[in-house]
Amino acid sequence: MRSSTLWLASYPKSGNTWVRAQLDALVRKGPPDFASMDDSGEGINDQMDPALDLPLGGLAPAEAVAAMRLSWAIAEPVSGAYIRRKTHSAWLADGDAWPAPWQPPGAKAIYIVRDPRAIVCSWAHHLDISPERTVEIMADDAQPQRGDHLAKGRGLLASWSRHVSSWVHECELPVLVVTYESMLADPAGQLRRMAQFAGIDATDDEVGAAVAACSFVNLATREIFEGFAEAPGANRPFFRRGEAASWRSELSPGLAAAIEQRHASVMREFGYSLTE
Amino acid sequence: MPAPSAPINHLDGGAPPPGPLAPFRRTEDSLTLGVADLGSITVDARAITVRGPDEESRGAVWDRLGVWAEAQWYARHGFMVIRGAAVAREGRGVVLAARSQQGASITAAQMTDLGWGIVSDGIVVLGQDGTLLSRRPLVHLDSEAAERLYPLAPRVPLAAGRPRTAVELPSHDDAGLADVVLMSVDNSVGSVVVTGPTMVDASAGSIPLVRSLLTPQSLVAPPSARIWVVVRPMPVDEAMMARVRPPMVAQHLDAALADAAASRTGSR
Repeated sequence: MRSSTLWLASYPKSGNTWVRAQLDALVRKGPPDFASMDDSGEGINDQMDPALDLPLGGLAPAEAVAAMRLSWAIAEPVSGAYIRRKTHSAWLADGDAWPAPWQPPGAKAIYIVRDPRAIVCSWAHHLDISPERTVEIMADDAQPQRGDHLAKGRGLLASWSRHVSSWVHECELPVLVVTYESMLADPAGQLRRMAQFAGIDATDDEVGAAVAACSFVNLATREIFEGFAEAPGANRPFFRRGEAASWRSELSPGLAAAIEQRHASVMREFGYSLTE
Repeated sequence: MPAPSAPINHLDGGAPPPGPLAPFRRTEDSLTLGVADLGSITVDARAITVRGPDEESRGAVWDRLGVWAEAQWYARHGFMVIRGAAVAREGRGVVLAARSQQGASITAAQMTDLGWGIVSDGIVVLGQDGTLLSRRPLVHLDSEAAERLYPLAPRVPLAAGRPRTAVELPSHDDAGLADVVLMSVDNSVGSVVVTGPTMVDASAGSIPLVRSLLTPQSLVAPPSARIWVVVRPMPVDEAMMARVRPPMVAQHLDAALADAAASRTGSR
């Protein structure tokens, strides 16, 4: 069995939606379709592919996640070489002996990394909790995803450092690593890399058009007029600031230092400079 | 004519070992799906065959995979199969189309308290003329919800992977398809962020959410059918829903469907 899954994987609030929107825009050769940005048609979360369509209510969590993985593996892409699926699961075993996103050979992953200090600001807003609480969650190696995670096919979240390391160093699938900051600096270049990895043929003009269609201003404007399913709540938009270094004005020096102390090793690996 | 019952065979067989994927085999003629350490179920045009090392294992496989297997069998015999539930009143049937844990079963159950009867639960089987074919009136619910809502109804605990119970509720025979309810978990309907169960009359036009919610098969509803979308911000917790009194979604659907029926007959 060979899987056609292309995971778009990241810790929360790391640019996953932005990547999905850009790839969708590239494939459609037009603005991204918010209602169905993932080929699986399942929307925002790891969910069973219609290829299997098995009722999950009677399955134990480990049985459910094994069924989810099967549904992802047996699905055939409708167009293109891969089926794009979003996940926030770490590449770590939890509940059974395999990571929730495990797939047989053929599958790939694009993993998106973002400065954890910026994630704290964005995620605190999204969850409507304090930055301090967000830092605690991001430091917890045993942090599960919210809700009945395994039964929904969602694996362990873990800490930010553990999450990044698991995909970058332990994942058995071919992984293309992209940083949020590099996408801000060179959106066309990074999209070109991702398109090539994803087997999407695109001209330079098409890449440019996709980048433009998915600029922060365009996405935020569309959210105002069309709504966005992943928005956290009324009056709290999903597309918030879209900047790299806004954390400098939003985080207290003490909190920034706490994040750096906990995640210094991985931050240095990705070139995130630490404050003195 | 009720939906035909698939022939079901129970045979001794081995239990598949654990692995990252649920055990699965597909041939030109059959599908086999398994549960690690329990057994497997095979569907072909002739029958459904449950295999396991003993009766207990085979029962556990059936209670986990039986609905799926029946859906495959019906599809192989030319029936349209939709995931969800169907209820009817006075011959007028309503499909509650939904994926797993989106509230179709418990909503169907709660509608029986309002005078509706169960046509089928788990899957909806349609005949070639679009008739909703009746199946056994057993609704599968989380055991806590079943105990709370229907303590006196005939109930059978299921050998599932979670505490689940089959509850026998008031039934209805075959029914014509009158209306469609699409049930989904999503955060927004258009530009409105959903914070609780929200019902939208989608008949007036094709809103993007309707398109994204349609089940894999195309459901051809009669021209007079109304289409509602019931959206929740998160998956249904049946035990929690059972504690909500009165059952808001069931009541709103009941009222909306009654209104639709009255409009069709011209009495409103």
